[in-house]
Amino acid sequence: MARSKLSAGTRRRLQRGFVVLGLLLVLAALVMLLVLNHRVTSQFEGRRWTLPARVYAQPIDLYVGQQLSAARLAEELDRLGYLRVPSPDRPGTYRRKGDDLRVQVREFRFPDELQAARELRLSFAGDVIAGIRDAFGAEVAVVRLDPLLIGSIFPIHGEDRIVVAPAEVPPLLPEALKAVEDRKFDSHHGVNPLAILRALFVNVRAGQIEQGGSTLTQQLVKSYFLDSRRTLRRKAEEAVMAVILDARFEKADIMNAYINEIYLGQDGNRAVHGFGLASQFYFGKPLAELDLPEIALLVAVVRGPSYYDPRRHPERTLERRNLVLRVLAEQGVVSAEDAERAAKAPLGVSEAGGRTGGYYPAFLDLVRRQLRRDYEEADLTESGLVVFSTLDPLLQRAAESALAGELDRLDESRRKEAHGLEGVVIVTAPQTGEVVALVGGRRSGFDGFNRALDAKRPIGSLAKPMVYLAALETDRYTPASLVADEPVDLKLPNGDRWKPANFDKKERGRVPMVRALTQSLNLATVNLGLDVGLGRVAKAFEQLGLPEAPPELPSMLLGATNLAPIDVAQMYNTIANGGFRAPLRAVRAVVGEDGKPLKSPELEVSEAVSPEAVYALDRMMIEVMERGTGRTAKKLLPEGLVVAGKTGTSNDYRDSWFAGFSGAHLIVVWVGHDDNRPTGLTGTTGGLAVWSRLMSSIPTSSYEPMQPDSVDLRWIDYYSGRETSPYCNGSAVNMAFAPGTPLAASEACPPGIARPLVFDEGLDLLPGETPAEEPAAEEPPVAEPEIP
Amino acid sequence: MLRPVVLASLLALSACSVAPFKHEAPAGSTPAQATKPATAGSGPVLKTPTDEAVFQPAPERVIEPPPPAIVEPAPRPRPKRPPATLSPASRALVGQAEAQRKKGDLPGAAVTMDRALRIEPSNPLLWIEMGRLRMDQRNYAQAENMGRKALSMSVGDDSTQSAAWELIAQSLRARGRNSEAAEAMDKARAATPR
Repeated sequence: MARSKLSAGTRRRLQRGFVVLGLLLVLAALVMLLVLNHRVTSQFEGRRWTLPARVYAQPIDLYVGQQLSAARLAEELDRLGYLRVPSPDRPGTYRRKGDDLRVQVREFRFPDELQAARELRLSFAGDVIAGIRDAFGAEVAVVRLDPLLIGSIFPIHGEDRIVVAPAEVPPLLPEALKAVEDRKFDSHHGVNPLAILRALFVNVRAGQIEQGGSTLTQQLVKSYFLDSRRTLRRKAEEAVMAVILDARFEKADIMNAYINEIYLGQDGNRAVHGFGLASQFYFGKPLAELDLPEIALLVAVVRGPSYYDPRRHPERTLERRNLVLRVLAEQGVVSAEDAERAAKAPLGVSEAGGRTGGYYPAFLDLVRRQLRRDYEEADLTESGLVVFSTLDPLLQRAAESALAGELDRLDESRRKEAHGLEGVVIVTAPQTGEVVALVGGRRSGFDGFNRALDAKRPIGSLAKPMVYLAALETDRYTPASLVADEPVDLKLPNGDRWKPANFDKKERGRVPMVRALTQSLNLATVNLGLDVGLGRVAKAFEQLGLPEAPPELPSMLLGATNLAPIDVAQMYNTIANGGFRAPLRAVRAVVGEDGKPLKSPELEVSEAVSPEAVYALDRMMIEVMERGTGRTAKKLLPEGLVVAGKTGTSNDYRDSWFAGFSGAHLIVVWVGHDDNRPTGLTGTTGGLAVWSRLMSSIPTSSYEPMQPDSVDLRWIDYYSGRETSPYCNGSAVNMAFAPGTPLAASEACPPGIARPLVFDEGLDLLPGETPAEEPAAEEPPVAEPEIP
Repeated sequence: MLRPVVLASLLALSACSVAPFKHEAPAGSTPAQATKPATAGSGPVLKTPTDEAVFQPAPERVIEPPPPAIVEPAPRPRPKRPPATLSPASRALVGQAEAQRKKGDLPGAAVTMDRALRIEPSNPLLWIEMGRLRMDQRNYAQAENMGRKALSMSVGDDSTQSAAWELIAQSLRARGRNSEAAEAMDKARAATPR
């Protein structure tokens, strides 16, 4: 009725109004769509969730004469996923019969070439490779195995999560996810209206929200962009964005993004995102190694990580896992028998906070930072990069177990204050500066704090070699120079008094430099450092590789300077490398998806300090291990292995350090508490204990620096600094001097004596004298107040 | 006993003037400090040809104190070392790196040399080879540094020293430092084994 009353004009006006309104609505929807589209694509592409950079360990080079037994090689092949078979006939298989090993090496694209798959026949003689031949019997001089994949990272985004590339995902996982969460994943357009309706129906009937009708795509969108409020508007936005995502990206990319993004649990205050991290968190092993019951458990957890927390609610989680297994069997993803067998398996969840293997968060963090430092950002955002790193998995494992084993032992044997110790181990190859192992904590923690790179702590007596190096570089001092181990009482610029003391509160008068360093005498070092000049000492820090010289305060002489373990490793690497600085590096090469290498920073060395001074210092640091604060290492080290090093202890025993090297490895160890409370450990009882355990468990070689042409080796008495003969007694040490350096001769045992003297029995000691073998030479801690 | 002590002090004082040094040189040792007899058990550093021989600690009073003297030893002849050689594995890799260099694949050659250095990091010949690669890469400063590292690792090995000096000479010449290059070349020639 009303309609007929409207005039034609009004009708036209109304029609026009509707059209305009309609257009406006369409426009608004379009704008909305564009905005959402922008959000989806920029987020998704910017993050490159689809293809992270894969990081490889250094490949094992096989060559005749290499120290590698057949058993060890077989172990490595197992780790690389090679199958042991009766007759190796395809790449990735091998056979071992005693000292005879035949392996079909896989094809692999290295940065320099595509190494074709090939057969190798190796023979061994004891622990050494005796021969390598190819399938035609021709000798092979040297050949690489394909390297171990140690993880994947997004170089630009600092997310401290484990990400996985499609190759690292067991094929069963996406299938299981689809079967349980989203059966129409392969065919739908981002949303599944039928599933939503079904979910609505089920929910209404049940009177509560039980089943989400969300596709995997929607779940991914929700995790990326939205909070968890279940308002209608959110639902609508989520659906629109899911459709956009589905339209713009491949299903496989969306699946991989889902696998790397979805929330799967809570580790303290850190959310566990992604199946890669969850696999480490729940099982302590890489995703690729999970079996059926373990994969089913993770798929079960997806639905509600806190409700189905396998550690807190094992029964209901087990029930849900077995439900997942039944669904998988129903859907034909696995056979009914396999599902039944898997349902009998226990949950298999590792202890919370348990140690994990094959997961190198601290090292990967170093790789990520070096990539960001050394490469163009545009190159790094490229997807599918391959990073060739310097990690040596064998050494890494040895370092992890040395640290964990020693800290466990300390926990058991020490007073309460030592409990819950943390630690860092860094291993480098001194000649090239390659970081071959890096352990950031007692367990491969998930908290994202990298102690090896970020924990800056006072280095205690680790500073002393810098003082002695600065002294030797002035040419005014030699290892025989006497320094005053006498009281120090300094008035500081701020008016405070500084009165450091030796560890045992004793003063030893004038002592030769070699003894002052070997026994880590604080007073002698302070007097020496003040005489040399704080500026020179600070410069020595910088020359050895510290990015900036430490503040020139007297307390720096005793190590009040706060440094991260990686800084210490850089400085000591230069000492171990004969005074040549080689910047520490964790990345050897980066290759783009097209197989072309990106421009990489290359191995560099530069002469940082005088080789003569470093040589003289190194010989003194060998004495530290022979008769000083490092000598307890001898109990563990192989007989005759020459090593050099230095202990470090900070105020009140808060930090326990050891830095030392053989001919092939520099190892830096820090032990302490995260909250900086005292540990009761000296550098000897903490850091050195870890160091010796590790150094004695790896194949390494003696430290045999080549004597520079312009240096003479002469025997001096450790206690008097006078020139002596090696034939007289055990207190003669062989030290380096500039040619023609005048030295006072020992009266008791002058240098001319050329063969052992024979003495009357019973006259070994003078009355009232103690043997030179002093009671365990403990490391003196820095016993001075902090200097502001 | 007094005369030698006085003599020692005098001589020690004269030593001070030779080697300027703030802290005193040893003057008259006291038994407790100067010659603490050590028990047996010397480490590798103290190993001598007569290591197996049983010897007793040396209490000071047993030995006749000889007139103390400042010892200025005559420069001893430097021991010669046989020329460094490459292991078969390194030789193969150096050959491969050379082939890569000839093809102009310098990054590839660098990767190959990295492998060789991992196998024999203390072989000076590999550092010289690495230096030659750096010359091709026009990284002359690093070429020189590699040469210097090779020098430090080949004391007494004339042929390697000669090759290292030659590399250094080339790197200097490439940077127009001709007089230094000529000096380095002289050293290369002087070290050439006859």
